[in-house]
Amino acid sequence: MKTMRLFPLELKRLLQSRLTWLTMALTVLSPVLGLVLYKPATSTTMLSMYLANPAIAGGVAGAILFGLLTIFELDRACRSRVDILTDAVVSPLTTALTRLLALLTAAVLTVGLTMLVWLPISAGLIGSVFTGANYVLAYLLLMGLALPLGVLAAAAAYQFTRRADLSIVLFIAFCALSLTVWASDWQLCWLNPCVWALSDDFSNFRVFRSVAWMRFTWLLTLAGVWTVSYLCIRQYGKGVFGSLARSTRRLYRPVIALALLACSGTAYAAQPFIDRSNPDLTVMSFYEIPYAEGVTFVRRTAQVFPDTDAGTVTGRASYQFQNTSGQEQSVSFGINPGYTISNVKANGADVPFTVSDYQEYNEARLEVTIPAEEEVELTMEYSGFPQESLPTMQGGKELSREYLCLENSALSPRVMNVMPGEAGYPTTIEITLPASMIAIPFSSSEAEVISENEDGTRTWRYEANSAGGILYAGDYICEQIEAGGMTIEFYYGRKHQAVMEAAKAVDAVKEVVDYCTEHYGSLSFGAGETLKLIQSRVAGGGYAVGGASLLDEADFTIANLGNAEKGGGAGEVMIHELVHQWWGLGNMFDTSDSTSPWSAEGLTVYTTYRIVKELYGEDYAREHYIDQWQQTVDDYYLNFYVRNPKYLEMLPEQVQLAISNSLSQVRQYNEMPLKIWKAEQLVGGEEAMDQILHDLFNRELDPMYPYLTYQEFLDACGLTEEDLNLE
Amino acid sequence: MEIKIQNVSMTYPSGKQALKGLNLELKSPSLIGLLGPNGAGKSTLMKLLVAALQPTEGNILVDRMPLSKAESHLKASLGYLPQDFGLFDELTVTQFLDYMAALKGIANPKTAIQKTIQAVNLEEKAKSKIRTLSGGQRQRVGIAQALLGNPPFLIFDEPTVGLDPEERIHFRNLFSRTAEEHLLLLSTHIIEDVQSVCDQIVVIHHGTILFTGTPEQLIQSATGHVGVFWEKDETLEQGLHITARVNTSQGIRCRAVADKLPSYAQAEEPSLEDAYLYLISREAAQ
Amino acid sequence: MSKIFRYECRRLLWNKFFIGLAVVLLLYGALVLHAVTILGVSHTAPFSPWSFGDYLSRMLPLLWIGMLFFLTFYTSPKARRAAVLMDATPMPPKQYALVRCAAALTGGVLLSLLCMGEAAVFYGRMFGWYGWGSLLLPALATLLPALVFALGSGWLLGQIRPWLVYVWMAVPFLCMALPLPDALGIWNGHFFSKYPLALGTLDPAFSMPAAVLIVQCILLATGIVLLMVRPARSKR
Repeated sequence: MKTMRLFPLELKRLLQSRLTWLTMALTVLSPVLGLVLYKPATSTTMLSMYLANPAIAGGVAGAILFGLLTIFELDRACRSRVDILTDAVVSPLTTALTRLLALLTAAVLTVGLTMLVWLPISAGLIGSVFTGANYVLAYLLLMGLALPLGVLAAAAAYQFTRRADLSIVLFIAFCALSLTVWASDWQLCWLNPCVWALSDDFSNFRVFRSVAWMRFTWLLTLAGVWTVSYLCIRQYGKGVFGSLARSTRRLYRPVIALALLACSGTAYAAQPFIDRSNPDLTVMSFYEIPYAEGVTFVRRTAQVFPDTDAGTVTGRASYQFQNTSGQEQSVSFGINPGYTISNVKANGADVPFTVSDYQEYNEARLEVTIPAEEEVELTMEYSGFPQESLPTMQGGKELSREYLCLENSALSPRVMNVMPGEAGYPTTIEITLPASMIAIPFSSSEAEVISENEDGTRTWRYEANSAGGILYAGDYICEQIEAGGMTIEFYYGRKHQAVMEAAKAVDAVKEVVDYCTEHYGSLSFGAGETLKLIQSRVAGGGYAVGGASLLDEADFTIANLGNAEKGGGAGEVMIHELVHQWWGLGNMFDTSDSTSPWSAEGLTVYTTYRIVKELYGEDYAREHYIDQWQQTVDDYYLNFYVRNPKYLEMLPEQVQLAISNSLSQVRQYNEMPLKIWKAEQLVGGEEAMDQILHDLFNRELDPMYPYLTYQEFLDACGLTEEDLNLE
Repeated sequence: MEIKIQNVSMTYPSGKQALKGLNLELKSPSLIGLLGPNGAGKSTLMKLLVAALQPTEGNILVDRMPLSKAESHLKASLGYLPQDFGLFDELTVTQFLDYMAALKGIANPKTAIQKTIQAVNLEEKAKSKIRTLSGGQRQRVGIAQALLGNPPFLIFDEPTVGLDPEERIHFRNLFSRTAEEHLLLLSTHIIEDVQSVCDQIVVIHHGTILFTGTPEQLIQSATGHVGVFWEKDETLEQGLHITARVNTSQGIRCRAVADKLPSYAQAEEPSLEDAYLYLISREAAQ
Repeated sequence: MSKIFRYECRRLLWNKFFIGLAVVLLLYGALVLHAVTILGVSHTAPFSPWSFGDYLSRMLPLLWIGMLFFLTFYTSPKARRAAVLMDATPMPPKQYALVRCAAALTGGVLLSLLCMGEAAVFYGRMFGWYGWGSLLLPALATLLPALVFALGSGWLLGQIRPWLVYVWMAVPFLCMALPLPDALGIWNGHFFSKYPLALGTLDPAFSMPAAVLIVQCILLATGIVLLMVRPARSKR
């Protein structure tokens, strides 16, 4: 085939060009921009700072450079008027294809060279948590696939317009769109993938898969667009449409173009990573489903089989209900939107079920009609690739041989509208994991191995009492800490051991627990005074339940150790999540009014500030807490739409939602701790406030309404709402 | 109009000496043909005359004023068609000539344009965009813009390239008529263009003038130095420069020029082309 | 002279490139308005001079590139081949260059007006706001010095080496990436997002600190001066 014969000639010619060498050299150097200038991955893990950022920056720069080179090369023949000669020898279509292949090959060679050059540098910067697999995947996916996209986009622009100047403008605008307007749309930002963090201690397969999907989708799209532009290459003195008509006489060409575009559209629509949850976070309709009349929960069991290679989950769940209504009832479950449900049977017989298209808070609604019998055993099978709801912070539902986190409906379908029985929601979970992983229920439950299987897996079992439930698993080390009159099981990844020891993480945990116990009182979790502290894969935050708190791996990194400001001590997110055991779990807060600034976060953030002040000094605490709260609250009340809500109402609904969501947490995380701090000044200082909080923590609870309210806080301080107004 | 070239030399920054001590006088009205092989220095001379270059030595006087001081006077009187030039493809013929007329400061552009378009036979294409014209039509546009405003001094570098024989004859006649009242310098490789219309011929080679005079004088200089013979197994003598080889039924008939013709060659009346080639080959031999 | 100006405008502005650039500007501008400007800048309204100025500073790189591309019409090999004819005419080269630059500037101004018009339509449709007078000053302060400086510097560079014009197109992107002093804040957009906060009042009227004003005036003057400069070179 002529293209194959001409390809080596064209490649040789291209590689002999000085401009090509300049482009390649600049591309090889470009990852340095990710170390100094362009840092889209905001997490402080080593891989985020020293692998993701350079690779993404290299991809951005490389794609732009190769795109410009493409336009220059394609226009060269026209500029020098050599095309009149070459078109008489070789069809312009063949020439175009040959040139494209040569440019793509040059791009591939450049990526290979970049990876070789940056391997020792990255290994040196990243340190002990460097792995070859992460390095190769990061550079291939974050950088490597960007260059061909740049080449295809630029080539298509030139072939459509036949003008270098217009092609450059179109290409630059296409790049600018990805970098600015589309930057937070994970499927559209072709140039700068939405990678906010890479984990040091655990795997990153989900993030890599997501980037690969996005890049693959764009590869199909741009290949399709390029093919269409290929058909528009001017021939026989015809214009765009005349040339297109001529080229499409060979039917396979437009068929290929259409197939590529159709596949890209399908890939875009059928992406398995992110759900379609309602973006309006104030809507919680799943919590408003009326309870099934006469139906009570008896028991749930689930056998969960995660496929750690494919990142999918398969499971069988069984629910025992008592239906005293004498009628069929509709029972609703929350399921992960990525799951499909099958084989739904009640008492051995198939029963009708539906799964809603509507999704909310990362759940879809499964409705099953149970029969009118008094004792109902409902069984179902579920399987699929669990979806997430935060497109710009993907990775939370990582599922691999090194780590998994299955939350609530991702673990097994969560019953939503059935009253608890006398025993509550007793649950037995069995999960089969590779032998290297240990299962850690994120609650006070303990998991134990019930069988060692022939295929090298182990089956764990644990009991819980909850309609939902969260399970972590991974290659963890467990350290037992005695503090605050209780035992703390501190789980962290084996890779992180050296860092944890250097950071004296255990001491830091003890300090926090001792502080809170001393100031507010001891925690009580019922039988067995044990608190689990689990290091999660980088999550950008954390949470807590009764008996368990989450610690983000970014809280303790090699980079943080070198941060003199923090004194090489406890990560503040870890402190925050531990404090939640006292404020939010040890004492509960009514969450029904999401617009109210009063929540567990206010006292938790305030307490975190107090601990940080003890650990790092008043100046640090003031700069990073008080001043930050004040700044954020000022910004909030100065926000144009907060001051002029009528203009907010003029906006399209989606824009209104985006703005409202971004503002909603400001009052809880900043305004309320600032008010509490003001209250501290008014009540006579820290000691006085500590006493007030101690008394509130240990007050007698009203079983009908056990929540700690803002009014109770004000009453305890002897203050009014107006006293705490922030001027 | 009078142009005097006094001992002009031109050496490019790369070190190449394109012209060496050139002396030439051009006076209107006349049509002067400039002949020479590629790289002889013809284009360099033309660029010097349009003030696109400055000589490294010597002077050029325009109506007794140095060119460096008379540049605007020269350009106001000049019509120039270079060998390699571009046009504004997006404009029509009329629009382009209107643009050039504005640049030349022509007072009555419409009349001038109409007259010029007629002179170059482009009436049918007057409203067509230049990008739609053939190579020969574009050449005619180039000639037209040079003729705009009836300038007293015209320089044409290869003006008939791309024109068909009929058009070439037409333009030869046009140049001849124009030269009746103007000074016209015509650089060309096509001997017929020079032979039929030029008053004077200047032959340049390696940056120096080999001949200045009338076409008849040039032909005269080659008398006795042009011969024809049959190419057989005769060894070609040194100094014999073959100018034509024609296959006939009786064999290959050769025409050659030489300082001394061999005995087997039959002397012929030289043509202008023969004379030119004889001149060049003699200079090369020296 | 006016005839030449008209023809140069026709050449620059009545072609696929200009239309394509205008379409790209409109599309990009729409996306910026709907994604960024709509949120308002420095606590001010989306239709405040500050938000409008921020929008223009985001459009500036494309306008800068467009401006320089207009100049490449004069520095391209094709244009240089045609220049052989123009150079042989009595038109003074400086005047001719000025006329051509004026045409290029006209193109830049038209594109700027397009961006501004788009914003005006956006404000009208989204907020029913039509107080366009208050937007004139930030537009002039942001765009005029930049366009004139692009013109002057691009013209000079194009005369030295035609390919330098293409390299010069990267300037606004470099400005966005590098840390610039406050006086150059317009060039990376920080002026509009930071300066109003420093004024201490809510929804302040548009103003510029002396440093920024001086810098913009210098750029404007430099652009004009550079237009007059002809690099010394021997005639070849």
